[in-house]
Amino acid sequence: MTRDRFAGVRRVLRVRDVEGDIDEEIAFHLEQTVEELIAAGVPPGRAREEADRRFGNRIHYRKELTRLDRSAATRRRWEGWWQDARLAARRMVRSPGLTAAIVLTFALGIGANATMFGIIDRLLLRAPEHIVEPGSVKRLVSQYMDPVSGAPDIDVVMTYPDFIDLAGMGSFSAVAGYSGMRLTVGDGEGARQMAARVVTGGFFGLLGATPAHGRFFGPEEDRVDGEPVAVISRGLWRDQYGDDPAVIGRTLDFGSGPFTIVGVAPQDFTGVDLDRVDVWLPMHVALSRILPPGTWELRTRAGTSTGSTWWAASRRGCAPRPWRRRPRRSSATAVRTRDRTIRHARHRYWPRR
Amino acid sequence: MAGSTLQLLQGTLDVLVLKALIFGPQHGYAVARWIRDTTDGALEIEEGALYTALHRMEKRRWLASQWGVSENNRRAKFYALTEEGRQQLAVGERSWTLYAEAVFKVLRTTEANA
Repeated sequence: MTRDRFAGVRRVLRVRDVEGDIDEEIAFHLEQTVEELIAAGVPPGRAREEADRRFGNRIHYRKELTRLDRSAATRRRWEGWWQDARLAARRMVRSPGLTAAIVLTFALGIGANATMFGIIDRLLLRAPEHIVEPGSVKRLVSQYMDPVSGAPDIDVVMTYPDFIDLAGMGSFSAVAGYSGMRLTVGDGEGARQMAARVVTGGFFGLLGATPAHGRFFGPEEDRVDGEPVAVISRGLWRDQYGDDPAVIGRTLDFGSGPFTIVGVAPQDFTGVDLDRVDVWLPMHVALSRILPPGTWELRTRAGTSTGSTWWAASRRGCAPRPWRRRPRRSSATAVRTRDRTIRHARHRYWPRR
Repeated sequence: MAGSTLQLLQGTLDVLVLKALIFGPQHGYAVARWIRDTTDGALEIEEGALYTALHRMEKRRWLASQWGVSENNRRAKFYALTEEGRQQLAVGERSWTLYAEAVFKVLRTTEANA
């Protein structure tokens, strides 16, 4: 018998029908017998009876043959798999280069997918680290009619008066604003840039994070005449201060007087965004001391007050006049932090129509 | 005793079927006919049992089967001896001959020799 090149494929597909084959085989046998008997002069009816008699109990034998063939097929299948496996192993041993290439291809493919999933997960699916109740911390955006096209649009950036209005309204359990910027620390050769966030006093309380060392600052410190204090990141504490607990009380000079370090944020804490932050400063203190005159973006987060739905909170947010009067603003909507990130990514990769 | 008789018959049938295939691949009908013709119909073998033997030996790999075309142009399943089948035939032939000779010796013995 010649070697069947496609035996493996056929084995997997199992196209052969055991019972059909047995029926065909028996039918062929009986017909041949009948033909032979008729040729020998037996009348057709008698010939058929004689053929049946010679064969014996057809139902019994059919069942017996089916059982035999099925168990044989099962055995062949397992033997086939085993042979395939052994052949594959032998070939792999014989050509280690190809094997390595295939393994490497798989490894890279799996690795790339895992990495991609990690990025997607971090960027789109998971809330930023150290937010105690990510589901109840939302972004506030202002809705407005685009003055040119007339289409409704939203704005993630607010004016400071907008923020003050929202914070004073009492619709939310807490409202915090923040703005990111790069600040230069020190001077001369020791000067370096830091990723800074100026945040309102309620920022840390809203997120519910716990400092890794020292403390955060609160609303009572975030005043124009407040003490200049700063919270540094875990990474900065490690890289610049060697995890020295005595970092509390050290100062950072942003060019107009020192800010005293009062605490260290937990590992990987980045606030509500995902980009790296080195230092957090109270907004009003920073405003009065180091921020250059001009405009900067103010982003807002709010937490729900207990027993109040987001819808109700944001509806109530629409009511007060001071900020509805401003021509561009019509209402405020709370958007979940995670949605923000998704929309952020969408805006980046799928430009708006 | 019925059990051992059956065992003997089954073993005998296997040898007969293997022998029938020594001249080349055959379908079941040709095997049955060859046995009947060769023994002058002296052995009453149910043909269903003969097919059972064919399939059993195929499962044991003594035989290999393949669908082909019969002398009168019909699709038929042909059986051929494998190398293992040939060895089994040799073993079966020898043990059956020894067995038959032994039985023969006993039956041929006259009272005088005893």
